[in-house]
Amino acid sequence: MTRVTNSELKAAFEEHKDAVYRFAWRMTGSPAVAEDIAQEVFLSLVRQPQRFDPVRGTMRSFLLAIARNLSLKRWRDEHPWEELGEEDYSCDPIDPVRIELGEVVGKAVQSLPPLQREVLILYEYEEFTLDQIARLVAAEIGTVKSRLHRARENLKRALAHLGNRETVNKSRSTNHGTIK
Amino acid sequence: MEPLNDRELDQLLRQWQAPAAPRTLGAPFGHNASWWQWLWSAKLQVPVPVGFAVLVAGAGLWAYMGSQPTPQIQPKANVPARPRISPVESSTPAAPAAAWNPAPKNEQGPRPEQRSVSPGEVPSLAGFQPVNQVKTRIVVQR
Repeated sequence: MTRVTNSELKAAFEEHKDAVYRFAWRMTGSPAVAEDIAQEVFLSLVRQPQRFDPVRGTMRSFLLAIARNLSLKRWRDEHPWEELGEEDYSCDPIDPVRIELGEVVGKAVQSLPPLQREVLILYEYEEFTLDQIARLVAAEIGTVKSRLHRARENLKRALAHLGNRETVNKSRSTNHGTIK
Repeated sequence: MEPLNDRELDQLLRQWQAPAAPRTLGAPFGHNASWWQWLWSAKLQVPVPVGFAVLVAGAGLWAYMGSQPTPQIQPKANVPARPRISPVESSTPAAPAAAWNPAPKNEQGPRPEQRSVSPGEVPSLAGFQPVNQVKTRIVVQR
């Protein structure tokens, strides 16, 4: 355990604020909630900087772990009767009409159970390794692999109607158009 | 419908871009914000049962205070200072009024203590009490 100085706190904020916000935004789907979570993450770092242990992981992992806990807490508050990780969960196809492609993908990802969603976001978007994710979410690496696999399979089914449209999608996402 | 393959899914996942942190996300370090800014932006999370209990307690206290009679503040008795009476020097001092205490002849029970007033002393009505029982007697004039 080391002592984190004020300048280090500021540097950590500047370096990781985007990653923390992005992760919270992808987990919650709400800019306001994501901002709240990001603020809380750095506040908890300021209040208890001694909790960060560089031996156990990077600062980014530490901050994203806090963001993850806060996101899951929010999800539990909003869905008190649902389970975090539904193994048998299957995504329904998403209607892409009049929705931007990125938004369709976002909706599909956010419809995943939280435990699958966080692993997918950390792996696909934040480019964490499976080992890092396992430490961050405090799970076995096999469990992480399994969750990631299920998340991808769910997304393949949910987004199946978007297959073979790469060329169209690229032009539409460039022009910010919608899929008809 | 055929599910996507891995390559297609990877390409689609890249389409979902997250925004950067907004500028309103300030660093919670230092003292950039003044206390009143903090006061306006501070939030207080209160669990519903606790908030409800506080509301009920407040309403009960308000009702209790409302049911209590308003205490009447009695003005302080403004007793005028007794004028100083300087003794009149005379060769034959008049008998003081307080010394006159005619008791009815048929009065029973202990008589109140009579205080003798020496001549020249200023009589005082302090400790004066009205009689407990008044016995009237009608005298018919013939």
